Amino acid sequence: MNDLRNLTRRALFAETGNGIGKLALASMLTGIGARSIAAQANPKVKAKSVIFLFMAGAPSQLDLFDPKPTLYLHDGEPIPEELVKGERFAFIRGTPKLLASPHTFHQVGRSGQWVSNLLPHFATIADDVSVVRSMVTDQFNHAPAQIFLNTGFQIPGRPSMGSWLTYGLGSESQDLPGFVVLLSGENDPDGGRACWSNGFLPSIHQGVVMRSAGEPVMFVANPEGVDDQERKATIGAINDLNRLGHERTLDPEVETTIAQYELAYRMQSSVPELLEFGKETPETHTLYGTEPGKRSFANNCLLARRLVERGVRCVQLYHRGWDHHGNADSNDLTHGLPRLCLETDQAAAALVTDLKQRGMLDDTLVVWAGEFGRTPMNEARGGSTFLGRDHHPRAFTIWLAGGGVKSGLSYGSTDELGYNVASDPVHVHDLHATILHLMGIEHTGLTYSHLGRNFRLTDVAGEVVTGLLR
Amino acid sequence: MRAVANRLLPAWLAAAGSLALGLAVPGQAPPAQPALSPRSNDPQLGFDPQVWRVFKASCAVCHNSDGASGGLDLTSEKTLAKGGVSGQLVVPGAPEQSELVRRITGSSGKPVMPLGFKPLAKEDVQRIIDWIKNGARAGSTEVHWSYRPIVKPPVPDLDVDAWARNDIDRFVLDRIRKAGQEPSPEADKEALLRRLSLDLTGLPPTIEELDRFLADDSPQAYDQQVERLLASPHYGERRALFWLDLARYADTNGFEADRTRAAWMYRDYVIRAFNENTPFDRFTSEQIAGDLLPDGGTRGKVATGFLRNSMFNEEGGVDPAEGHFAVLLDRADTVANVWLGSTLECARCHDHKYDPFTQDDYYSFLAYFSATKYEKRGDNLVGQEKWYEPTLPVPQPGQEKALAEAEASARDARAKLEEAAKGPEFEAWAKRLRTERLDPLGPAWVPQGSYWKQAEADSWRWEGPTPDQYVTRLDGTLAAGSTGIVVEALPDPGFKRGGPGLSSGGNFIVTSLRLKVNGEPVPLQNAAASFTQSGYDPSSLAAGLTQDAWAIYPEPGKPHRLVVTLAPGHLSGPATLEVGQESKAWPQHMIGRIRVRATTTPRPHEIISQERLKGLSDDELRSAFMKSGALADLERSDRECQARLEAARAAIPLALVVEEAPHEGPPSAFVRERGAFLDLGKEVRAAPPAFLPKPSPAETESRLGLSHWLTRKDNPLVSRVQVNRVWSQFFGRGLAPSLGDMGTKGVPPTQPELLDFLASEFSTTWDVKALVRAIVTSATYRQSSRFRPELAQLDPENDLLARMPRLRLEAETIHDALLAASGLLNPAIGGPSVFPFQPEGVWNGPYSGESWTRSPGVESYRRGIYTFWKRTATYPAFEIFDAPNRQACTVARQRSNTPLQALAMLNDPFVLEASEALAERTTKHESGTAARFDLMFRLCTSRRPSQKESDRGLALLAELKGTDAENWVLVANTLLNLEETRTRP
Repeated sequence: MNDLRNLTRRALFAETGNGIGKLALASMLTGIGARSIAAQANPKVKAKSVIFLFMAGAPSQLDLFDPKPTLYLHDGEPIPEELVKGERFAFIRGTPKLLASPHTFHQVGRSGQWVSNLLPHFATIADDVSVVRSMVTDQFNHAPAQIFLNTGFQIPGRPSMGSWLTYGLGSESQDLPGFVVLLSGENDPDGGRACWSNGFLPSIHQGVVMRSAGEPVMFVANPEGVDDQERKATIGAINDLNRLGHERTLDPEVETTIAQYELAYRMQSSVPELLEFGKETPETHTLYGTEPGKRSFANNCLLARRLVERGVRCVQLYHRGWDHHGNADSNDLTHGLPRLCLETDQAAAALVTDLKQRGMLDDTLVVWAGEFGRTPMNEARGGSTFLGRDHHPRAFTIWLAGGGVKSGLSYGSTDELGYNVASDPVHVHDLHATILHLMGIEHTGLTYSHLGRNFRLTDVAGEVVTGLLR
Repeated sequence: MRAVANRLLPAWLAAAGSLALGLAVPGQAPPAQPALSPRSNDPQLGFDPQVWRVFKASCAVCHNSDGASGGLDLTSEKTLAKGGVSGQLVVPGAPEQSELVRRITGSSGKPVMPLGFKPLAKEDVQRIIDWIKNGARAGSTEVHWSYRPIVKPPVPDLDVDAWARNDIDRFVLDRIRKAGQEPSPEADKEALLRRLSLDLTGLPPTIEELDRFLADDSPQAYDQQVERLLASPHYGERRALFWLDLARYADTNGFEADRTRAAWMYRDYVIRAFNENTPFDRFTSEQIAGDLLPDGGTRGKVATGFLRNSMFNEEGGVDPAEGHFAVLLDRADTVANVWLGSTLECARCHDHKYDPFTQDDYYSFLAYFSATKYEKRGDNLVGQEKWYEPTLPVPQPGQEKALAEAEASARDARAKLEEAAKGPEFEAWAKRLRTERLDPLGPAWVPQGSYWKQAEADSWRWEGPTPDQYVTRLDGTLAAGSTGIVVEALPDPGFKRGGPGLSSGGNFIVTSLRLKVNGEPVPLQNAAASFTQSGYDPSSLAAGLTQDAWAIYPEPGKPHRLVVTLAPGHLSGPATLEVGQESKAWPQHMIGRIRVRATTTPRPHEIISQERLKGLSDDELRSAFMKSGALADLERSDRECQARLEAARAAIPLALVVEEAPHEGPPSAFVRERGAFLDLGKEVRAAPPAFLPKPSPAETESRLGLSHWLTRKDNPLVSRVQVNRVWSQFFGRGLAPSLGDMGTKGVPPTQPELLDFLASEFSTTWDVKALVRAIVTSATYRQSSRFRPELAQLDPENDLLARMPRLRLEAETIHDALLAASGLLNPAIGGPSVFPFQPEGVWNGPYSGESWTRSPGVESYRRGIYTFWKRTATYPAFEIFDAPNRQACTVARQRSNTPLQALAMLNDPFVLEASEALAERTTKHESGTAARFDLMFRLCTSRRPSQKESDRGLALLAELKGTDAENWVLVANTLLNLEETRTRP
């Protein structure tokens, strides 16, 4: 308990050496007492950071990770009525037809993980990851499902996982935000800022978006005519004057403002340094397939490693574009899906490889997941002849690596059509509970009192998936 | 591992407050202090609350309105009474005869419910048995608070209420006293005037205003300031800021292309309406049905821009009907949100889970908006059809006169030209055109390839499978005197739509044209077509480009001609012409029947013009003559005048408006099953939600009827919702904290009596200024905002209102405060949106070709409300301070506090510009260092610095190493960065 408090203190107010910082700490600790962070420092805990590769749009598990021979036998046949009776789909109408994957599967690594030919690089990390083929969610439209997978609730307004983590553990970085969001792909995630919102937690826990093209953080550089010395002097004066103002108002929000100015100042030097990609070796660039200056997933993966290297608690990457309904060739299974794999496969595998090579994989948890899965049936919206699959919340596949997760594990299974989970279901709440557990937090203990009741990331559910733990 | 079904609990179930509280962390003591306002999330669905909890937690996962396993739905009183497949569920008074009890105890021999779950806890079973024994009454049938009629509560009668200035205070003080507390003392005068100025106008007080108020000791001093600020033209801007979030006002269409629209006249209407204190019922009618108001006029039409603020999807391939339907959905959702404070949109796909809105209600409500006019434009065959709604030219001051002048001079020039065209030149010109024969065309060229078969009239027809892309090569001879080549695409009854193209629409696309003599390329001088589809340009073929250049939609089934002019002195001999169809976007668009011939006519392009002029009447020919270039000066003058007239017309902005299409009786709409556009259910007529007060027939006739229904005295929601919103603008939080949801999932009001009292008053007058005046003249509002640590535990959300909250200013208001402090502010009101400084690279629209160019001069120092609002690229400094993207109705903004905000305030070049102006301004006014700092500090925070603050500021000045002027800029930058500068005290 004390360790955690110290961690929080270090993270938020380290070396500020000012009265206000201590004041803020005092009030925060009172707060923490009331909020009952029950996380126990656990010597077995290794994960310090999470990198969440959010495949927004929802990749098709049936074409990437979850081969279904039965679908080949019944390709093009109507799905058994009883499976879809009363079922709601986003786009499918009437009785849809089963669709075998147009891609081939094989087993890779010593562990023999199943993967399709669309993810050749995944083969290189197959023995380092746990593949969970039995994920379940409650939501089947993008925005609510993305918000659900981030906050444990489908409506905007709850804190996201990254916010809970920095709230519970603080950040180990003194000069970067504890929770960073990186965006790539065709557009931003459907759930928008609600995906990295602090909800009702103090706003210091909000995810900070870093842009991968142009100035990474807007306004991070001093304007023309202001040098670093001057900036340091002005921030010192701003914070001192805000402290004096605080004596008049006692407004706790001022304490946050002061901490944010200090962080902003440190970011002015840490962000440029963070982005000095030139310092990486050519081998590293080749490994990731980075393209300097581009809004790309590869750049973001490398940036994510550099962020956790610097102690950032949670880095969340979004790559939007996985929504392969098959209503045009750009979003079908034979053109669109391979393109998305091409955009992400190499860098995702590189991230795990790179972390491992640097000895960072044990204390960094990497999660790869979309917001839901896709149907075993062809969507054929409006009679489209392109192959595609509709949204499917009942079964999907994710993978986790590092941070105390077993290596080379295949966890859970789906029925022979891939429609429902057959064994070892993992609900979104369970995933949250497991991630928090790996980070050393007991999920029922990380609570925040709001509007008269205690809230937590896992709402009133969630069980740690012990089968995944090393 | 639990069963899957267990994890599939609908989230609403898991969210129930009672359940959550039941699962408090073991070992964690409940809060010692009882909560001030017991916020039970009472479901209000008419059950005994405890039994309801059991049903909801353990049964409703299968027995709900969607699933209804065994035909049983345990989510409402009605469906419970109905029972399931096994018949009646409950026999009141007789638990032993009730199927429900048999099933949960297993005494029926059938599987024990809940199936697949742990059996119910003993005490829950007992509770149900007791409930049935006691008559199984539905329990409380109390109506949810916000749906109850508003009854004006009595004002609390307090023994000693010297503190209270008006009735608001009596309610508030009563509440504070009951909690054993006292209100905060009054704020100091500087804070009061800053608060009042920012809240009423969005601008901090000037130094003169501060000094005058500080010097005024009269008892009316404060009230006089209130009246002065309420009368300020900036008052309307301030109120509009909040309304525009609700109205999702923006300057672009949204979606992928996100093109600019002329929406600003609606914004100006809102500002004006608040300034004129338009009664809220009229304000409602104007925005929902201004086009239908008998006395609506142009103002009313412009006000319907409220509805038009919906996004508009111009992306190719969008089903235009579905796109238009999405617009209607947005309108229904927004009106329900803004006026009813309801999440009606939940009922799009199914009956609302928590509130009494049915799916029929949703589509009945939507029907009100379904009878508006639109015009189909664009080609549906190629996925470009869009449904455009009307626009209205609204001349701005001066424009009407300019237009009249332009019209007069255009008329004049035209008359002169027409007079001249009656002369003998015309006769000669017409005669030559009608009699001169163009040289005959040479023999037809022969296409290569065996799929081309010879057809009638020397033409060639394709008789093979249609290739996606194809280059037709035709062989012929080019004589030395050849001046051009005529390519004809000829119709054929065997082709779809009669051709001449082979596409499903009979269209073709020519993407390239290459001419070779003996294998050597021959340059082309010009290419012109007898008809060209809009958006295509055949002349690009002569330039040697490969692009979609010539197509003929919507004129299939007719012959079409392309005349290519050759440069003099070209090569001669055996020649090949390549006619390319290389379009990837439009495969199978080749010409199906073709004839190519060379010509030696001296002016090949006249082949086209002569063809066009053939068969024209004298009058038509005369207009052609007027454009032929024969009457040089007169013609030019006419052209210029016409162009000026066009420009004058184009300068008149077009407001986006809504117009009603004719319909008989109430407009109708189809229920969409599960919300799916294509899944039509029954047809319903326009009506408000059925559980709310019944509409009169007139109130279902049109949007105008709806607007009247909304502001009826017995509508329980509208005035509560509005009062609550206005309250939140001053207190940062509503009396009912869920501004967007007054339904059962919303947080119940913290001060229900006060809310109803104000709502009841408001609904009798709809006088917004009176409501604002009541709020700002209350003692509650005049309290100090000093944080009270002793109340932090008892009242963390300030429900008691025992102090004023300090509020960080909204994004636009921060912008305004910087402009005001620095003296840069251009206080002009209204007009097209402006483009203040914005860093490079924020707005890179891939489609619209539009870009952000900073407005010239003082236009870039307008108030934030006039900043161009682009939906897909919100002005970054605004976005950082929580401004919404305005894609949909926003009921409340967040107030976040992030390092990005610190960075923006420190480093945004705009802030530095303001710092320079502030430094310059104060340097001009004050020469002494301390006095200068003092003035600067006051301009930013509206108060004088303390000695300590002044010392710290001057210490900074001493620390800096630049020139005096440079140092003062940094001091100014420091003060603009103070959190007080961006806070309403």
